[in-house]
Amino acid sequence: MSESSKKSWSKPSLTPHRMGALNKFGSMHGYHYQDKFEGVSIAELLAKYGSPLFVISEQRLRDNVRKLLRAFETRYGNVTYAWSYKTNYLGAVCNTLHQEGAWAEVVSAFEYEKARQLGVPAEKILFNGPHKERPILERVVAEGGRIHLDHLDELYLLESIARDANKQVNVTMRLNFDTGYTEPWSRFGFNIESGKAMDAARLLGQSSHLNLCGLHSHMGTFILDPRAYAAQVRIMCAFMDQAELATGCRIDSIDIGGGFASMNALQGSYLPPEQLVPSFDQYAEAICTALNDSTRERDLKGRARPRLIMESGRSVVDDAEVLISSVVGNKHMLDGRRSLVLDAGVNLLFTAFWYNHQVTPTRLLEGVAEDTVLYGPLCMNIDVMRTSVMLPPLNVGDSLIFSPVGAYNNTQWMQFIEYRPNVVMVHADQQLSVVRKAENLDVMIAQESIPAHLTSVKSKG
Amino acid sequence: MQPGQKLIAGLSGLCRAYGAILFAESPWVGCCCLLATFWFPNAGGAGLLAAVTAMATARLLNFPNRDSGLYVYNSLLVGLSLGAFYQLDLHLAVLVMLGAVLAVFVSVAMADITWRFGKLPALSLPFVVVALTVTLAAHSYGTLSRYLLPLAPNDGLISPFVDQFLTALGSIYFIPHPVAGLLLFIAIVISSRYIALLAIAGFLCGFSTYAFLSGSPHQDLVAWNGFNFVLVAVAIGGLFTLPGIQSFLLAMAGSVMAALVTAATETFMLVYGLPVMALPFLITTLTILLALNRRPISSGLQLTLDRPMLPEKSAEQARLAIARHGEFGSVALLPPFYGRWHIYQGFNGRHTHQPPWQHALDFHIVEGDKSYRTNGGSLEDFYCFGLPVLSPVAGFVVSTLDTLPDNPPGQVDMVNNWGNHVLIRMYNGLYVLLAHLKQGSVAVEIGATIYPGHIIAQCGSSGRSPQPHLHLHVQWGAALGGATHPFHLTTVLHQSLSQSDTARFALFVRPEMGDWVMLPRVEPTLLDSLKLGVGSQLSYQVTINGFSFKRTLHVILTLDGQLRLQSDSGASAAFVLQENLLAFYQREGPADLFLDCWLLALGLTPFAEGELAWCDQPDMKLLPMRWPQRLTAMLLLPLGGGIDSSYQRHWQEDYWLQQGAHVVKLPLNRPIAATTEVHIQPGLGCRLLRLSSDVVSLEARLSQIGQQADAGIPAWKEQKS
Repeated sequence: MSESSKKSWSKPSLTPHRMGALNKFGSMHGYHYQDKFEGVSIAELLAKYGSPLFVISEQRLRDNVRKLLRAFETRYGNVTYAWSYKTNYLGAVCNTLHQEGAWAEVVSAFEYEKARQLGVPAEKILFNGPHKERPILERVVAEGGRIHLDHLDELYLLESIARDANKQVNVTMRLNFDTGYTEPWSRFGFNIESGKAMDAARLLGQSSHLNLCGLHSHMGTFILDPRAYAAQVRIMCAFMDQAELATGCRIDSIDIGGGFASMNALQGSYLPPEQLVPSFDQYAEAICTALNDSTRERDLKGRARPRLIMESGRSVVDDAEVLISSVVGNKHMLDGRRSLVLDAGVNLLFTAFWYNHQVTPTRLLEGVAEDTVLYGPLCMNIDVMRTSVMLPPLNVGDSLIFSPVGAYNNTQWMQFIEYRPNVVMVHADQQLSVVRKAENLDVMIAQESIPAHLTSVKSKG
Repeated sequence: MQPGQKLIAGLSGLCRAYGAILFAESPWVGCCCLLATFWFPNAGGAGLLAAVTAMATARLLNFPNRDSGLYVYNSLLVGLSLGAFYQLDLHLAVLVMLGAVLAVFVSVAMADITWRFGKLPALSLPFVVVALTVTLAAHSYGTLSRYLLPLAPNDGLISPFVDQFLTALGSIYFIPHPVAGLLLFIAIVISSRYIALLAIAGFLCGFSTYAFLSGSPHQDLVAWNGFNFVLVAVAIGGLFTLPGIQSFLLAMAGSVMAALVTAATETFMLVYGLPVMALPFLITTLTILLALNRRPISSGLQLTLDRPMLPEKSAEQARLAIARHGEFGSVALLPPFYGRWHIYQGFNGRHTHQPPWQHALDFHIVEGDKSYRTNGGSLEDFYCFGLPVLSPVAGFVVSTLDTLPDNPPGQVDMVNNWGNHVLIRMYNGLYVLLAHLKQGSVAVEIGATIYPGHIIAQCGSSGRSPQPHLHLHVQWGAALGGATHPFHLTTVLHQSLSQSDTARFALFVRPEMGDWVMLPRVEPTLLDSLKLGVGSQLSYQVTINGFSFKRTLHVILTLDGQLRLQSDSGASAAFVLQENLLAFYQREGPADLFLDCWLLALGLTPFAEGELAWCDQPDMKLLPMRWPQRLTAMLLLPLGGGIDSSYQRHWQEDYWLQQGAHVVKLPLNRPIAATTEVHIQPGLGCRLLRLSSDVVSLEARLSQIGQQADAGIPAWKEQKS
């Protein structure tokens, strides 16, 4: 390298000696930088689309879902993957996954309407969540979407809608139960242990318009032990057999929800994600073995094994997207730590509240790495992107890559103070498309209307 | 049955018996033959008497399948043969009737014996036996008076040689006269052009051999016995083998041999003053068929002994069978795994798939271009290791082993070649071997009855296996590693390394190294919308070239359990509907553009989900053509031909759009093409059908769906007043 022949100047830094700084992971991630994403130069991206910038890789998204499907489809004969819209409902992301055969899993009227607008047939939409009102349920019933019941009032509402429409409606029941591995999410669905679930199944069995034909449960999120899923599947299959026996229904799908972990570091976890997060194959092995075992008798009787539905969003999309942010200022904190002010904060990276995202410089940085705090652009104290990361000094205008950021950020981001930036997709041939344009004032005020007497800033009185 | 109907049925049975001698099915063809026999009323009358007697006998004794004419045509021939040699009077009439009754019994008995003996048809063997018996007996009956048929006049009908051919044809019915022969030839042409071609070619071959060896054959001998060459060619080349070049050459060879047998038979029979009749034909044909019957199943010449039919028809069925099921005799297997696997070694593979184990497939899983994650240092790194292995067939387990250890990557067990395995006996008597399984993973026991899709073990790396993979073959015998037999994978998505990067759905796949195969997922909405249940009725508003009318299709179930889609014109096609596909075949009945359009558009429709492409080869007759094109096609391809149809389907807004491109390429002609399009809407069915070509444009819109009540069970449905 020509740079090494003549030493370049770098900012001086003072590094106090600290006890306990030694640990088995070393002092920092090395002088590691990344000046390209999927073969496209970061500098070029920023020059063209501005900073901050979200960049999604279409190929990685496809590779991830193919890996997931390969792991499950080679172990079980009837597998369906449903894309969890809430994880990332940018149209380009959804349609990439629909092209790979994914169904849609939606949890609100908006998401249902979006999926339909993207062209997903209603039969391939799972309508989940605790909040479904009469108008949207009427539409879903008319179009033949798959409804997941969350509570009894919803059951009664749907019964009345189906009666009015004079239709037979196939429904799936959401269950909750204790697997012994995770904290049960008892606020969603019907509880098995208390008998509420069987009561609901009996009600459905007696209903003249609703047919119970699927079971669903979602244990939680970022589940690191595949055995939890094996336990979940066994409990659901046992309930399936009991419910069929008790009510005469025919259940043809088992939906295990999502919750697979992605390669992200949860705050407070000691080991790095590479050592903690199970592979798709490990999840699949646990789930499919349990499912094949629990449905063997059904298979021997000549009945088809139930469809296995997965809704894992995070593990598929998270590492397919990065956020590029630029340094707008340097500061030294009173405790001696260095801090950086960036142009992207928790307004864009909502998941910074619970993850320590990986932060990668985009050029080779000279100088000694120091413990650094990364602040966002908001004038709010909680706007911290990383409370502590080892980084050599940076200049204003330098950029950093936050990864993985594909899950939940493009849906949970806030419009607070700032415009939301461009979201760009890199295609397999390295061509670029803007999949969500940066906001501007017109977007911000598009929904507003100002009463006649308030149109002027001047007071009439 | 009404007396009128009875009479018509009787007459048509009688005519069919006349036609059966020329292997024709239609009563009108038989009627033509009946007319021909009355060129010499003496013989014709005797024949008719015999036929009527035989029909009465068969009816009285209640033999099954009387209308096939099987029991009658032998008696008919006995009658004709007696009428050709003796004056028809009361004495002869008694003899004819006795002979006819005897021939019925001999036919029934002999048909059974020859079938059991070697799946052979009795042909006119009963006639020859009875006719010889009766002729020998007639020698000692003084009451009969000889009758000499006036043989062909010398002035001739067309040309001496053509007359000789026609006369020989006529003598099949003991009417050796060119005019009778011409009538019969017309009957043959109506029934099957290919048989007419075989008749001419067979006569040429047989006659030239006969003439070449005997110098100058006696005209009468050729006139009386030359038909044997014709019948051998027709029976072998047209009826009992699948028509094709091989079958044609064999038919000609048969005619040549028949010349030899005819000469020999003449020499022998003349000693006893007996006519040769059909004896050379029977000896030659039955011998050849019996010999062919003893071959193992192969992809070569195929016999159609169990279902002989007109060559055009059997060629059509065989073409469709080959297009859909590949070669004859290959065993269809389902993939022995879930998901998408990669071919590690194909048939005749360079590593180990060498004779006698050349028919074998090795599978594993590849991601990117690697079959393992990290560095592949341990078995667990390999993607396929430990994955479920399924039974590809129905059968029962005859041997298992799962105690051998899995080799570390790169090492092989040279002592136990096949490693851990499951050997399954199929119900066709062949065996399927799944080998190199994981230690301790075999989940079935010896003697267990298993079905396709049953999880039987896990993929491993035992035996001669340097890295985890699954070996599959079909073999002869229950000994491990017996000689292998050809097989193929069916109803799979196949992605070929050599051809294209898009997966195609196919019923016959023999993948090669580097290919991918997977069992497609079924799209339930397609199955639901194309569920053609018995009694369902679909009404369409059809527009053909601007004219609009209403048409209906309905589904019927025939007595022998065949589901058919029948249009209101009476035309119909059989179909199979199973959980993964809908396939039409055997189009019958009058011309019907609307039904043909339906068959072109949906002829083979797999219910696999997602974007899909596949091919089929329906019969040429389905493609709309102008009449000169149709005539050219008939002349250039006497056995008919297939349409190269390629299909693709994808989801569009709220329906499945299935498009087909259909091309017939005739030698020396411009290709004839058409495209079809069908919109399949979930829950509704085929709401729109379109066909467009140079000749015609058709559009059909679904207007009504109905369901007919089952009239067979009156109490089933309550009548609404």
